[in-house]
Amino acid sequence: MRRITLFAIILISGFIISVNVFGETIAQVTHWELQAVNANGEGIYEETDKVIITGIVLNNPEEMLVPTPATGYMGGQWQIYVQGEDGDHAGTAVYLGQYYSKVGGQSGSYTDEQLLSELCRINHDPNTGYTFAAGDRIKVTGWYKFYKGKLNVNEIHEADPDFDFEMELLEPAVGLPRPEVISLDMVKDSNDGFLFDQTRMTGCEYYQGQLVRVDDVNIIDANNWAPDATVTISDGSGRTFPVKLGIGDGFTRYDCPTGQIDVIGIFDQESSGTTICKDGYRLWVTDYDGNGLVLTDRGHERGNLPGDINTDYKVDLTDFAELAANWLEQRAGLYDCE
Amino acid sequence: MRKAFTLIELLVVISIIGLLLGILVPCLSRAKELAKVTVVNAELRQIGLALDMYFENNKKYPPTEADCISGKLTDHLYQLPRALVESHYLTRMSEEEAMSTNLEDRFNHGHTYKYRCAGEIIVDRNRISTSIAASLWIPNHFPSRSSIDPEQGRWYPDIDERKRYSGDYSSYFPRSPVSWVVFSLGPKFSEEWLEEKIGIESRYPVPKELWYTPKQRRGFIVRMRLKQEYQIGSFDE
Repeated sequence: MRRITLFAIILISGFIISVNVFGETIAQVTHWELQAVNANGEGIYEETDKVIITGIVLNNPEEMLVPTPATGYMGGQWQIYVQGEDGDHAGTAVYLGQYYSKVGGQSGSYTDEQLLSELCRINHDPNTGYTFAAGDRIKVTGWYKFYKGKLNVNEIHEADPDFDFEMELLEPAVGLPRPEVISLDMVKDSNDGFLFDQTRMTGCEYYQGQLVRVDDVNIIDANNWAPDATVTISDGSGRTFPVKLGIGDGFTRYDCPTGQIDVIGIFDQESSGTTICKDGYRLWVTDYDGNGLVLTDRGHERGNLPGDINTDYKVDLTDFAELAANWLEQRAGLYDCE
Repeated sequence: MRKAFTLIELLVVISIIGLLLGILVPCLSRAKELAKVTVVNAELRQIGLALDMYFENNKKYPPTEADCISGKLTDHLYQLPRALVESHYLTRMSEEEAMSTNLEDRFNHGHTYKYRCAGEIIVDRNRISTSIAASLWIPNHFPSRSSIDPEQGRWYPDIDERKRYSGDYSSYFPRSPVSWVVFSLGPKFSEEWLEEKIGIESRYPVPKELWYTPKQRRGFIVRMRLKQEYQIGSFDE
């Protein structure tokens, strides 16, 4: 009996040690918990190796970063924002890149083929094959890493499959959350500095990672208008705010809206870097539908006319021109999973 | 009696001065570069001593720093370990400075020399990772032979060893033929040059093919500790 007890103790101890040594800790967390910061704006969550988060997808990935392999310094990149629900007042970016080795990744980079395969995997629900889009409710499981003011769910810059994140559809097309209306004096002080609150109950941190709406502002540097560029909005009281433009084709197709407009975008942060983590807030508008009044994309509307490709409420030769100009173009990897 | 030079005389003198400058300027710039390389080698030696002292006290080398916030190689990626500063082996910069120490790479202003080891790594918020190990690519039979061919070397630790990693690298860390390497980007460094040599993978800077030589006037200026206890580097070549 003694021997059996001893053997059992050794076995159980061995099991516990092996879980501690080789296991990864994981927990379901709210976005609010995950995005907690210290006085320097540095993320403080570190209770587990991996996290599970749920929420609403705020953007189509191909309108935020260019996923096509071998483009730009980091190669193809993919990113979505997921916003919390039911009082979880925060949101989290989910990111994947191609050339991790250029920024210190220890298990190399993705080849073009590997990246395409990864894009196909993360862009589709593993159970149904459904293609994720803005407005879906999803669950994300993955590692996380602090980057310039916020914690992203990502592969901690490792191409090894052990560090993959997984996305799962909970409910399709539930719709985008209603954007929270803010004014620039809620996020900027009288000297036009970003308002930072470590408790995240006010200022920029309170809105970070969420869809917000700023009413009655002007774009003061319309000459910067272009895909992937940044323009500045002003409320006329000396407060300004940067608006990062995505890569949706609306920024090419339409002119910069003039006069007083509203802006609906994702409240993002990309601070200046290694030591300062509270100086780089911005709105991210991923596409524009040319409506002239609100800088946002209302969902690729077609004016209820089949064939109205350029959404000018008229089906004519200019629609053919659009069709011809973009014939056979595709965002590689997101939808073609052969 | 003539009081002034003729145009011809002036032109001759100017051309001689131009010719002399044409010969002297490249020589001076070369001499300046060599002087800088000498200073870099002296400073890398100083860092090597600091690393040895750190090892004596901690029985391990400090972690590699590869937090993506530090950016790419021309930014702060692989900058000198803060652990060396916190242990007072190197001088600290102010808290606001991105540079971990005042030992600035003379060929990459505003940034420290670089440090990589086969062992611990910081990839996020100054915390040593318990999931990822820092690795070094080392050519087979190094240092007697060297190559940049991916087939002629291996990572230490390799993929399988990395998969078993759980925060304690001591079991396989001593197997790496190179314990650590400190390096300067050297003159005329560019990401394009490096990519041309080895592609996008980070198989630098151990292979000798990537080292600075006075003849090529380009490449990493390196110093590294071999498993056999002695230090080698581009200063030997």
